[in-house]
Amino acid sequence: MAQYQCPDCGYIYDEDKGAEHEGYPSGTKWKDIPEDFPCPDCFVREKPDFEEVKLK
Amino acid sequence: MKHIVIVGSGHAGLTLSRELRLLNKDIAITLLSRDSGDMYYKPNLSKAISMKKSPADLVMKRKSVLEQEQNINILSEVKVTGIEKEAKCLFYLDSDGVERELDYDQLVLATGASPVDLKLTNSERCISVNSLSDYEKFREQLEQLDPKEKRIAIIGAGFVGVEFASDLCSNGYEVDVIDAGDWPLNQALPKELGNKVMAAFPSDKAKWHMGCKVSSVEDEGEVLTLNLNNGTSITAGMIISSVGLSPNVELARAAGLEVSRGIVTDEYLRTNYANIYALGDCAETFNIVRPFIGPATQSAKCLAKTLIGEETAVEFIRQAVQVKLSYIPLLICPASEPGGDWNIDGEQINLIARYISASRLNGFSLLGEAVTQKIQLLKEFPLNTA
Repeated sequence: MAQYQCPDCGYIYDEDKGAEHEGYPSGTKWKDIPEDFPCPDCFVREKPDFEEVKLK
Repeated sequence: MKHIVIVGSGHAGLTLSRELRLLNKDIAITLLSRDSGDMYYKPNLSKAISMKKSPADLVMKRKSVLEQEQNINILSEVKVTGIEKEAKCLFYLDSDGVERELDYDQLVLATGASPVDLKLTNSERCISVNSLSDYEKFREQLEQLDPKEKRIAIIGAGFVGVEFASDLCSNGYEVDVIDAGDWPLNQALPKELGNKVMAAFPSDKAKWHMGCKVSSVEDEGEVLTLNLNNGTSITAGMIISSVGLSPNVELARAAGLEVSRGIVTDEYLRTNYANIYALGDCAETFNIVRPFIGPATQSAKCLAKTLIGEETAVEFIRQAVQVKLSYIPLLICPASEPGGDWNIDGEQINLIARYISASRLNGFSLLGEAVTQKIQLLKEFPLNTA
C-alpha cells in the first residue's frame, strides 16, 4: 500500500488507513481520491500537490 | 538572465520559489534567510510534543536539498540591511558579518512577522515561539524545568496559545492561560464555543485566567511569579508569550515603501515601487494582513505567475484553519470584517457558529463533530468574498 505526503505540513495519506473523517475508509486507493481533495491537516494543498512517499 | 531575489525563507518565500521553478526552469532565484534556510512547517511548532518530534525532526527539507531540488541559491544566516530601489540592489551582512551587495530584477519581501513583546521580563524562561530556533530554546527550557514546578504560564489565548496549552497539558504539564479577552480565541469564536473549548481541557491541568492582564513578572531564579491585574498571583517554571504577531516592515519602511500595518500591496502583490513585491505575513493586501498559511500559499502561486510575466491578481479563497487541540476538534474560518453577529446551531459540544456580516456569511467556526460539516459551510460562502 502506498503513502502520499502533503508538501506543506507533512500530513501523510496512507492507503491502509484512509481518511475516515473525510469520508474515505481504510483501504481507499489514492487513485480513487478526488483531484480536489484538500490536505485534511492544513487544508492548503490539494491532491495533485502531494508527493509519493518512497518507502526505504 | 532574469534574477528574482526573495527576502525570507519561511512558508511564503519557499512556496514562491517552488512555484516559480515549476513555471520556469531558467530564471535565477536567490533566497536570503536570517535563519538556517532549512524548511519546516511553522504550525507544527505548537503541536510537536504530541507529534513526538524533536526540533530536529521538524525539519522537512535541509537547505542543501532545497537548493538542489529547486535549483536556487539560499544565503542563510544573513541580515538584509537596506534596499537601493533606483539601482535595483540590496545590501546584506553575510554570515561572517561582511557587507555585500546583490542585484535583482524583481525583489519579493517575504519577511514574515514577529511576536509582540510585552516586555514584562528579561528572563530567558519567558519565550515567544515563532521560528524553529525559538522552538529549540523552548524545548531546552522545558527539559530544564524543576520537576516540582511543571506549571507553565501562557500569556495570550489565541491560536498559538491554545495549541501550546493543549500540547503541554496532554504531555504531563500544567498550564495557566491568561488573556485579556473573556474567552479563548475571542476574536475568532463566539463566547459559547470559547467556553466549551475551556471546558474540554482537564480542569486539573489547565487554569484559565480570562479577562485579565499580567501587570508584572518577578524573576526568582527557578520560579517566575506573574502578578495579574485582578489581584491574583501565579507561579510558573516558564512563560510562553503568545499575544500576537506584528508584520516585519522595517526594511520596507526604511526603503521608502508604503507601509500601513503591513507592507501595502495591490492585487498583484506589488508595493508602491516598481519591481518590488510583498508576500505572506508581512503583506497588507486589500487593507488586511492575513497571517495564515492558506492565503500565503494562494498569494505565492499567483505571484509566481505575475513574476514570469503572466499578470495574475490574487484571489483569497476561503479556507478553514484547524486548531489542533487534543481534547476537542475545532475548525475556524476567520471572518474578514468586524461588527457581524454570531448565529449558533447544534447541541452540546457539537456546534456550528456562523458569523454573519451585512446579512452574508463572513466566517465560521465548527466544534466537536460539527467539523465534518466544513465542506458544506465553505460552499455557503458567496464566491470570492475573502
